[in-house]
Amino acid sequence: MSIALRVIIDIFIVMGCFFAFAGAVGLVRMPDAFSRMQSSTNITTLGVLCTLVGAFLYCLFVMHSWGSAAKVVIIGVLTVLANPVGGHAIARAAYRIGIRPEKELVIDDLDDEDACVEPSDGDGTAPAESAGAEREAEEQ
Amino acid sequence: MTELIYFAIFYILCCFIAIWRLIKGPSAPDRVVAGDCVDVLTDMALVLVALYSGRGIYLDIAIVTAILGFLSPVLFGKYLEGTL
Repeated sequence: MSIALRVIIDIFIVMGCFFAFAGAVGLVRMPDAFSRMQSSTNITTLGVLCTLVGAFLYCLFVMHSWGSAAKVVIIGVLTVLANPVGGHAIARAAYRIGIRPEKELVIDDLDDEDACVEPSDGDGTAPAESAGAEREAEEQ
Repeated sequence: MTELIYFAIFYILCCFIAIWRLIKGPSAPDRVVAGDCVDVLTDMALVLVALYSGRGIYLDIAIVTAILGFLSPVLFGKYLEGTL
């Protein structure tokens, strides 16, 4: 293993460690819930990706194992695809249960009544209205 | 490379910072986000331990935590919204 390759791998992993530490500190220091969510994405994007690039280089050029490199790539793809979905779901849930940021929001689309109506709400109201209409028709 | 295990220990120490928020957090979404961060940081520590020990079996465990860590915020979010 050449010393240049070792230095490159270490630089990538140290960058990942730095961003993970920055995200963890932001998770403690940020003032409200949405800022903490934004700070936690620091860990899952740059922290994970820099570390995994270093791990990928290590698997290829030090361990000479294509299988381990493929597993590292799979971990990176799963993390990058999955974490925005979870973050979106938990942020919307935080808004719905009444948590607001400290400052006034400039654009507030979820405040609109028609925005992001759940499918279960539509299914719940539609049969009730049709049943009411039938009842009115029978009374007439 | 011996320094990989030190990086893994550093990730576990970052986990403890997130666990502090998990214990103290004033609202439920704070705790869920902190738990998700602990999951991801443990994932990275597992990758580094796998590289240090040269065994691929830890990478399999890291894949499983990467998949299951995605499910917990979605399920907790649906539960908090009341649409589960």
